[in-house]
Amino acid sequence: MSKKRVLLVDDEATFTKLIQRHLEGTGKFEVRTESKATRVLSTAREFQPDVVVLDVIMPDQDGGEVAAVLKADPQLAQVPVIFLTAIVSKEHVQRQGEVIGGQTFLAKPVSIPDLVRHIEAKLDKAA
Amino acid sequence: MFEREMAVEYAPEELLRAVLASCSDGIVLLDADGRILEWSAGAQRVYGYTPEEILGTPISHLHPKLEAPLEPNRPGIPFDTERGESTLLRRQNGETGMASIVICPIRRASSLGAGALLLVRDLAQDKGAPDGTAAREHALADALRALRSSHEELKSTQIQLMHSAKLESIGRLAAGVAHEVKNPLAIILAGTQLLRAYLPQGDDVAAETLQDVEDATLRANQIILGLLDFAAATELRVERVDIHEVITASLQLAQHAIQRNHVEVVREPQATIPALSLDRMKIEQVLVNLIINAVDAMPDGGTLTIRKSLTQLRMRGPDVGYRATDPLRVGQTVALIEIEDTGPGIPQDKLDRVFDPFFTTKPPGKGTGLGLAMCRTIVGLHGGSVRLENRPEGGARATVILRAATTEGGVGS
Repeated sequence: MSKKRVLLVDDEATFTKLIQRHLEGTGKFEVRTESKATRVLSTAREFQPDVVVLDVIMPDQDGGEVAAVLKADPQLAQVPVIFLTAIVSKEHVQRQGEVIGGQTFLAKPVSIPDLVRHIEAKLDKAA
Repeated sequence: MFEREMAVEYAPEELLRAVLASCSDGIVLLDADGRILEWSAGAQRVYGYTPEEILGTPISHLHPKLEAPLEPNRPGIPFDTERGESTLLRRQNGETGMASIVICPIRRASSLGAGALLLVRDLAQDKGAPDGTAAREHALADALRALRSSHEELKSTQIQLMHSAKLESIGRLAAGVAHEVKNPLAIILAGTQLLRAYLPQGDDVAAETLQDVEDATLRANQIILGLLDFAAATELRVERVDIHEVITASLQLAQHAIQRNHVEVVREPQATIPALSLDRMKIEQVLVNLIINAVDAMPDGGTLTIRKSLTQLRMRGPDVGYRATDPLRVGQTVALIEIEDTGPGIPQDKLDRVFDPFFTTKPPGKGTGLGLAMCRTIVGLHGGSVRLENRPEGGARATVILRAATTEGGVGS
């Protein structure tokens, strides 16, 4: 079975490096990291990910805008996105769960087993 | 001697008539609803009305600006002491004037609330002060009192404004801190979880150290989450809610802690409470916080009692007064939710500070010091009040007071 491609986008390069090691350590994923929001479209066109994990607050462009750019690309429009966000309160999660407006939002600091579970769920759904 | 002569001259009823007829000041007797029951000759001189014209009329018709209502049976209004004030009076011919009145509650069979006696002096007619000086002095005193009262209101509004400005800046600060701190926390957590995968089998010291780092990281995250919740407590999504259901849901959420500490929960059967207008989620957050606090105070087990009741506020107190700016007003119908524990109570010198942000009596790592601050903010946004006190029989009691409307149908048990 071929490995699933995961594109990790976060301006914290140390964070994406650690997550990359985790995911690749499972043997199930091939991971590409990107720390510049404005470069995500070109990286994604080249890498053709099966799922994108996207930080919401980044200095050069908002994660929501990046997702919209990907959505507008015919080849990438169907790629599922998981958002990571630092600014979410317990109350938000209680009120809205992990899915807001049909999108999955995970609160940082995310536990690795949780992240893997959500990535696999997205891939199952897309399959 | 004098007494004997009086007894011979007057029957009790005659004596009363003689007093009513000869006193130059007005004497007015009110029933329990503030309506005029008896009217002296002096009262007729002051106001201009004959008994036939005025008996049965509410006293407010003659004194439209009395400081507090005169109906002794009005719920929640303490009416047990004599009081006096200078106030506007309205005469039969349409003129207004100033009167000094003394209001005495009437006792009957040693209980209050039977009515009131008013002694009225027409200040414009005051012989001791020709040219109406006394009337002007009293008008001045009235204006001064009104000025003091609006100054008080202004001060209270200013404090509320400062409080909401403080909350707003805490909100901005919290969002900024959350982002800046959660990213490094995410790296630490991802790092420890990754290292765990590389640990050689049997390296217990390293495994324990990683666990300690992870626990500390999650603790720091809890503080950030608490700060975000505290900051988020600035707006409400109000709906009609059965408070009984909210209490049940809150107990459910705290179930883990309740079981862990072997705490017995007693829900006292109470009267029906009408549906309340509140933000279900936020009040649930408040109750969960108070329940967890109570449970934490009983690490070796105990009893947690939850009681709800509907009552009318009868006395002034913290957050309760007569002014429009007071969150709760005397006479208002409120729902009380009381949460009691059988723990050691709160040290008396700490009681004043427990609602301050970041103040905690719990051991390090057990509390963020934001829980009660958030409770106060949330309940305050609902126009209510939350109190914490030590019970005389031991343990602490938290009381949440929420406004209740009594006109709608009741729900809950």
